[in-house]
Amino acid sequence: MLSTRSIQILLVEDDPVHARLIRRALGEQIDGSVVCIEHVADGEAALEHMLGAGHSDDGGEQAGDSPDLVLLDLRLPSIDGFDVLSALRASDTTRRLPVVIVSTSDHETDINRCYGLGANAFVTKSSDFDELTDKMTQLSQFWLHAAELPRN
Amino acid sequence: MALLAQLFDTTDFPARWYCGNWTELHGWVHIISDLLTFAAYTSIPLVLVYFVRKRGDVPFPRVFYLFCAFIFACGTVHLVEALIFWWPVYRFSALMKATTAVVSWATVMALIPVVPRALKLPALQKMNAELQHEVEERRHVEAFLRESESRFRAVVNTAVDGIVTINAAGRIIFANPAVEALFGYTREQLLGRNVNMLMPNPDRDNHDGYLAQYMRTGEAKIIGIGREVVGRRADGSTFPMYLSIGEFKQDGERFFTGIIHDLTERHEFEIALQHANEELQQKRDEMEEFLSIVAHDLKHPIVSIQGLLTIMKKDAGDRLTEDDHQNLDLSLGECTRMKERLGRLNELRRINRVEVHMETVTLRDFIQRSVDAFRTRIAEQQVAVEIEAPEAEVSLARSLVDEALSNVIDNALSYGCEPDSGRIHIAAALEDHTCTLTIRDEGPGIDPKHHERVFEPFRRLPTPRNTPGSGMGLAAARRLIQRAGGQISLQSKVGQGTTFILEIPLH
Repeated sequence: MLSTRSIQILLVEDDPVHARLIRRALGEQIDGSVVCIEHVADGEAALEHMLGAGHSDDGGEQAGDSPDLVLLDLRLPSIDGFDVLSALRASDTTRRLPVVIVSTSDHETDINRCYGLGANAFVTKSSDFDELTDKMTQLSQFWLHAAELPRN
Repeated sequence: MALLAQLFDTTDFPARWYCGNWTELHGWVHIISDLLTFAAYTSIPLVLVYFVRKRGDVPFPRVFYLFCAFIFACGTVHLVEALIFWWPVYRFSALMKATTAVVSWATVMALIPVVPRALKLPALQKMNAELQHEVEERRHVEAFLRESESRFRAVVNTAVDGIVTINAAGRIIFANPAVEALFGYTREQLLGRNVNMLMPNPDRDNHDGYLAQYMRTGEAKIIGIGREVVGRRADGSTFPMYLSIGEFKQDGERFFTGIIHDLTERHEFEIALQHANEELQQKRDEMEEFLSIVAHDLKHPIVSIQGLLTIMKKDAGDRLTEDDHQNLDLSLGECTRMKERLGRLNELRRINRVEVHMETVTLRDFIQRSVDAFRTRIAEQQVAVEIEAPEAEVSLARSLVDEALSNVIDNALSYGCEPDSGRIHIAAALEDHTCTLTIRDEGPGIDPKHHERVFEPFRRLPTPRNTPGSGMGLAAARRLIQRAGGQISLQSKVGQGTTFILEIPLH
């Protein structure tokens, strides 16, 4: 039964090599569920994917696909990660969507700002690959489970 | 008339020659002596009167005139005595003698009360000497005054600063040559004119009002204080100047002296300095930008390379030789090193951007807390840490100084102590607006030729035990202290330990 489940993850990452590494770090399965990774390379595309065209959610427009988890880079072309995060938290459909920031930054100011905007976790990419793998898996598991808990 | 005739009647007496047995000689001695005495007694009053009249300042002149009368009276008695030898006017003689007696006693009576006063009169000689002395003294004072005056004049005339004196009406009564040079007026054009000619508007129109206001209320806006104002030259151009004004009174009149210091050059200098500062700031921003690119943008590909190499190593497994694996490991190691270096660059950048916050701390507690952060290491290395600091409350850039101090303590623990023993002495001294922290260890010391280099980033000096380190601690400490407005230096000789000195400005 579990094996038929698939987990939808949206990866927002402009660097193709980093995207490749993160894919690899997440592996193909989490808790026996198949990991389906959708990759977009900029903030604009990410918002379009989740909130629909024009990404305004105020007119009953067609909402986008809501993934189970978002992995979000901070430095992105056009709309950066901070703005994507704010937009997601401002919209009813994505307010509780687990968002894990995956960034090369380890600046305290960046980290604090992300949590302030409502990020669920912050992973620094500068740690070595094995560590990244562990962190990605752990965090993804945690937030996927958390998202399944009753919401009150 | 009858009385007068009777006075000179000689019928009752013989002439003296015929009364008694006179020898020729005896008679003539009487006659000539009496005549000579009369002549003398007549001359003396004449001389005295002449003297008193001419001098005008002779004390007790009335006594002098009495003297004259008395001497003259004595003289006439002698004249009559001589005449009696031929012309026996004994009645007239008696009258003259009686008159002389009265005048003599009058003189005596006048003289007695004068004597005590006359005794007080300084002797003429003494008076003269004093007068001489006084004259001498006056000459000295005059010479001194002249010299002082000419010196004063030289100072005022050669002063670079302008000196202007005005009276209570605001009219210029004095201006030194510097004023002429500064404002482009001649002395003649300045003297007697209203001082507001040296000011641009609105001061020009308001100056009389300012002065009147001050005279009325005594409320000083600039007098006795001094401040920066604008001066106006003869050609209408203006220049910045520092004006200080003093007030003085002379013969009940009030005067004001202004000293004018031209600030043109200083202003130009300030502007040049500002330009230089802006340029420097721009350079700093460029550097910042560069550091940012290096620190962040280079980190990105390194993370990629390291990740890819890790995957490659995992996937290749047995397909690679032992040598290949070793090379891959070395490559991964290099990636780690490069990431560390970029991390340190980032650290420097962070310090340069950190904001300076002033906080009030108790100096001793502040130091104690910094030391406490190293509790575990201090215990492990068995290092004795002594703190000598006042309990004083000071306001300093706490987080910056704390981090700098921590870096220096870290350095002392790493390089100034043995792995199992050591002593670190931390002292704080307050002086004016500076707090001086000294951190002294008893380690191997630093060769003076390396003293500056220890503060350079990435610089690691050869150490006896090859202690690992980032080469960043002291560089960061220097930047942190500089950011806090202070400076860091060290004193050390090989074999005599090292003392770091942190001078921190207080607020």
